Amino acid sequence: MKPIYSSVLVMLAACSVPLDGRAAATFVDARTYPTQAAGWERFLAVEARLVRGFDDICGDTFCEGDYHNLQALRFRCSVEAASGRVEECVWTFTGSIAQVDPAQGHIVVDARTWACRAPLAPDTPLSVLLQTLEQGEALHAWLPGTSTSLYDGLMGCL
Amino acid sequence: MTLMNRMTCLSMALSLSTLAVVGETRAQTGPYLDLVDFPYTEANWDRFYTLQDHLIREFHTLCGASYCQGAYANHILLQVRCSVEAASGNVEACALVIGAGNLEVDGTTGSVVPDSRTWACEAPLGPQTHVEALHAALERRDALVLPLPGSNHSIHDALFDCLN
Repeated sequence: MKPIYSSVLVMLAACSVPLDGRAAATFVDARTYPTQAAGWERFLAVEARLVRGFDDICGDTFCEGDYHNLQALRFRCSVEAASGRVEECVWTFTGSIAQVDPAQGHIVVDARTWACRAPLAPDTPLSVLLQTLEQGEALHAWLPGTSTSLYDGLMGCL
Repeated sequence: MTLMNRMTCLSMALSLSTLAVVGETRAQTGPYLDLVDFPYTEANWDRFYTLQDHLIREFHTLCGASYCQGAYANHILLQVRCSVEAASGNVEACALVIGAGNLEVDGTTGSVVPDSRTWACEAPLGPQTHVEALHAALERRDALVLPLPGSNHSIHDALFDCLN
């Protein structure tokens, strides 16, 4: 009996690995949680709200600094597949300063990017985060379980 | 007007004239100017920024069918900047500054990993392109895909090489 048990265990283990040989991911992109069909449009709508909010305030806030043309690039979150809790959200930006060298006529470019981590509380459920960001001024809303906002996170980053 | 008011006015007038002189001096530190400042400081401001907005819209329209199909699908034209030889009014160089970025979730650690970058792409100007000729060419519809004055190449050609 012992050799048969071993064989069954080996077969069960083999069946638990996807056909492409990779183990199932522990963390997934929030756009695909709980499924791509259910998560994709909802998450991208939240991202679009955040970008509009950023564009609305940039001229009076972040874009008053050295880089006056800051633009949002991407907002993405990772989610623990088993629990639906958010592990991390990152928002990326780009901006530039281009100036003429009066002696040579060259264009001197200082262009850069930023990756800003959202100040989330640990174990924030994705559904609660999305509900928060779908209401009112998403950029200024307190993130679930905190008294800080995405805006506060950007202040320390950009 | 009291003496104090007269002195305040005089002081303000002196301050303003000092600022104007500083501005002149800054503009004359070399033979080249920013196109915004041609022929004098901020003289071309409105026309240039209208042109830049037009080129940003043209870039955005072109992007999805061309540059924005690779790993980075969200290129943004951030800025256009040109230098002009003050004495002749010929454009010396133009650069287009572009940013793009991707974010990927690491399935094992949960980290959201950024891969963002920027490019500074030079426009393939023809020799001795005058400011007026450049403005006329770039203010057209499809300005990015049409050849530049005195050149067989378009800005689109240059961007294709620069971004890929």
